[in-house]
Amino acid sequence: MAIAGGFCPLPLRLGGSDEEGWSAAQFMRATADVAAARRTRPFAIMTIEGDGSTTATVTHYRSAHGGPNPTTIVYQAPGEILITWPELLPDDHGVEFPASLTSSRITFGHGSALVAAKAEVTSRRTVYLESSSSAAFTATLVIFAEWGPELRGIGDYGGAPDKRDDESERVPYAFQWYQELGATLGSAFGDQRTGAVHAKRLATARGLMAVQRSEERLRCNATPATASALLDRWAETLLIPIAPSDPEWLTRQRCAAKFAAVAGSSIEAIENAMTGLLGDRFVSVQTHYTDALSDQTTSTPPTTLWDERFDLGDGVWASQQSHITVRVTRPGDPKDAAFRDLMHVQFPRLMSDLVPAWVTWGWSATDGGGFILGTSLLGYDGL
Amino acid sequence: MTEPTGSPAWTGTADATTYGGHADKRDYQAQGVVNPQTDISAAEFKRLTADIAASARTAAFSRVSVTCVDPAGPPVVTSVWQMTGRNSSGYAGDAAPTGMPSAARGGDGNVLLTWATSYEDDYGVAADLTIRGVDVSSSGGIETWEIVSANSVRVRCYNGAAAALADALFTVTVYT
Repeated sequence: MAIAGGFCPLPLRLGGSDEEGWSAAQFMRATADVAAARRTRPFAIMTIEGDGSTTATVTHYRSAHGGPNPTTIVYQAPGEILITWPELLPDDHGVEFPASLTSSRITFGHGSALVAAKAEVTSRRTVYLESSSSAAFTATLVIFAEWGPELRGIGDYGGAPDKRDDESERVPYAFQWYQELGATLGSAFGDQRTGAVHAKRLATARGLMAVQRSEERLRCNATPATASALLDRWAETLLIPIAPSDPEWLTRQRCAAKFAAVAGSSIEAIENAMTGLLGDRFVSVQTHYTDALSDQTTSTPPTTLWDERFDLGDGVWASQQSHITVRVTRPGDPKDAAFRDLMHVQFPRLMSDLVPAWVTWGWSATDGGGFILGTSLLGYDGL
Repeated sequence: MTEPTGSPAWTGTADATTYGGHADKRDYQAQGVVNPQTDISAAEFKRLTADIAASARTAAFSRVSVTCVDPAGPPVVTSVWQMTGRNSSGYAGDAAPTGMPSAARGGDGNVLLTWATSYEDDYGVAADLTIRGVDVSSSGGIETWEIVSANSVRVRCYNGAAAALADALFTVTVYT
C-alpha cells in the first residue's frame, strides 16, 4: 500500500509499489545502514581559530546533536586550550542525552609553518588542545563520543529479522471505505478531492479504517509472533526471560517459539520451535534412532552410559532413542554474548518445556558446512 | 519526478523534519502498530529520522588518499570516498575523472586538491561545496593544511626534521 498520505496515516505499513510504497526489504536495509552509520559517525566537527595565547573562537560547529555550538573554550596557557561540552545535549526532538567523549583528532592549518599539535580527551566532557607554537592558528577538531539513546541496533527503528510486507492492507483501508461511501451515496458525494464534502467523506473513511485496524490489531495480539501491545503479557504468561537490552523483536521471536511448543513434542514441532527461536542459526534436529530396537543401548538405572548431568533422580536412566541433538551454526566469535544467552538460557528453557522429562537433549555447533564440532556431551563450552 | 525535500547532505542543513520526523508525528488515534512484523510506529520512524539527520550532519564530504610523486610528477590519487561517489582504481592528479578532486603538485609533499564548486546528489539535486574543516594524516610525517578556497585545500607534509617530505603518502578528509 501507499505508506503516507491522507488515506494511510501512521503506523506506516510496509509493502506496495516502488512509486508509492516501501518494501520490508528496503526498510530493513535502511535500518541496518542507519545503525551502522551511527556506530562510526563522528560526534562533532569543529573549526577553531585562535590568536595563540588569549582568544580562540569556534568558527564552524556541526554535530550529531544539531543546533549551535554549545561548548566553552578557554586558554589555559599560550598554546593550550580546554574545550568543554555541557552535561546534556538535546537531539532533534528535544530529548536530552549525556555526552561522553571517547576520542578526538586534530590537525592544524598553519599554512607553510610546521607546528606540532595534539588533542586529548581529558574527561567525559573536555578536550585539551596543545600546540607547540603560540602563533595564530586554524584547526579542525573531530570528536567521537557516546551520545544519544542506547543503540540497540535495528530494533530502535522498528527493524526486525522477520519483517515482511503487509498483506492485509495492500489497498489502504481508508481508501476502500472512501470508495464504499461514494458507492453508497452515489452522486451525493461526487468525485472532488477538495472541499468540505471530500473532507467529511475522508474523515469518515479514516474513522472506519481505525475500526478495521483495531480488529486486525486484536487478531495480531492474539498470537505472540505478531503481538505488540500485549507482548509483555505474552512474555509473562510464557515465562520468557527478558533482559533490559533485548529489543522487542527478540522477545517476540522467543515468545513465538515457546508458543509453538504447545503443539506437542513431535520432531516437526521441535523443528518449528527451533526455527522460531534460533532463526538462521538452526541447522537440524538430530535423532539417534537405529533400525532395530535390540541395537539400542537402553539403560536402566543406575548406569554409566549417560553423563550424570542427565540424572533426573535415582541415577541416570535414558536410552539412545530418547536423545535429541539440535545442531546450530557456530558464531564467528566464540564469546558472542548473544549466542551464549541464546544457547545457555533461551534454548534450555524452551527444550525443558518442549520435550517430556524422559527425553534428554543437547546441542552441537557446526561450521556451516555440516561438520559437527561438538557433541551433546561436549557442547560448545568444550571447544 | 518527485523532488526530495531539503538540500544534499553536504550542506548540513537537514534535521529530523527534513526526513518527515515532525515533532508531533504520532500514530493515528494513538493506537500503535497493527502488526509489528509489517508496521513502523511513529516513534520508531522519528528515531530513524533523527539518527539519519545526526549522521548526515557529521559525515565527511570526501576522504582522499594521495601519493606524492616528487620531484616533478603530478601526485597520484589512490582512492576517493566521497558523498557523491567512489574511486578505488586511482588516477593521476592532473587527470581527475568527472566529479573527483584533482591534485596539483606545489613542491615536495605539497599538494593542492581541488573539487568541483558544486555537486549533485543521487536525485540530481545540486548544492555548492563549501569546505569548512580538514583532517589530514600522513604516513610517517607531520602535516598541515590550508583552506585555499571553498572547494580547494592545500596539504603540506614534513619529516621529523621539519623539512618538506618528498614522496609523502597522506589521507585528507574534508568536512563541510
